[in-house]
Amino acid sequence: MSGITEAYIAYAIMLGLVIWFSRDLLTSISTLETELEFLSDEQPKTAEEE
Amino acid sequence: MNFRDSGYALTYLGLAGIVFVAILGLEYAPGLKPCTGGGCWGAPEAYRILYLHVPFAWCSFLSFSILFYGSLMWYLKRSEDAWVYFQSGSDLGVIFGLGVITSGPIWASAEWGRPWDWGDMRLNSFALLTAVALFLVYSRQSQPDTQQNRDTLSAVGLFGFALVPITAGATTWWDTTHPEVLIVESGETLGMSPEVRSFLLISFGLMCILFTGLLILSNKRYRLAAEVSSRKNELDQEAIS
Repeated sequence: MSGITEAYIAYAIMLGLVIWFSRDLLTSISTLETELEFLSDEQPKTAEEE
Repeated sequence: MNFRDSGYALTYLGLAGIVFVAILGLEYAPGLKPCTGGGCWGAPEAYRILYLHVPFAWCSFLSFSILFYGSLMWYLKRSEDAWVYFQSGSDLGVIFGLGVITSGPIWASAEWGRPWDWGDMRLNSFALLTAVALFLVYSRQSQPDTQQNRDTLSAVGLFGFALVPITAGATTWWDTTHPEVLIVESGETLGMSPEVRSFLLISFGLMCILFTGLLILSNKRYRLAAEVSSRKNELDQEAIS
């Protein structure tokens, strides 16, 4: 056996890990930016309003 | 999305680079003969795994160095920025470490006929290093974010870094099944061919670009998270007063 199948499997795992992590980072950053923008516009609620 | 931000540009460039390396590594990189000057290869095509495995391993050492820097700075300055580096270093250590400890056994089962050698110092110390990073990531996520917990996790990060020189020097100091230092010490009579060596160095260069991009983005994520948390506290305080 030459091992080419193993090479493809290993490449898929390594590429999958970095692509998944990059995607997760980009999604988190986007969510946090939206949340921060929302919080910046938010006025504190007083006890009576709550 | 702001492409002027260097983190985004470097990450996209790095990702495109390693996909390019993967295609070249699998399809066009020079092959090995079953028996070469260095000995006989049981699975000569499986060696292609090394084009990503080795840069992953080197980048994992960079990640653990970032983790060490973050841990040390946390102890010295107790600054939020140090904690940002600690978090990014542990995340990147897990990602690159997992890439190494999954691709390594795949190569080993093709080449050695067994995925792991429990007597090999390099393999076991690297697995332990990745386990330390994994422990830090899970602990951060499951424990309250207090100064005491940060102190404890930083101590683990500091002591865990001791495994880096042990892992890096293991093939020189102990008899290991893992191949010895070949890339740095390759010459005309020993080690890998110049084509394979150049290809590996290009792959490492591209992986470094990706690593830098991911580090910048990861730091940005944790800084934003700290800002969101601080803004929420401010709003709570304003509401109470």
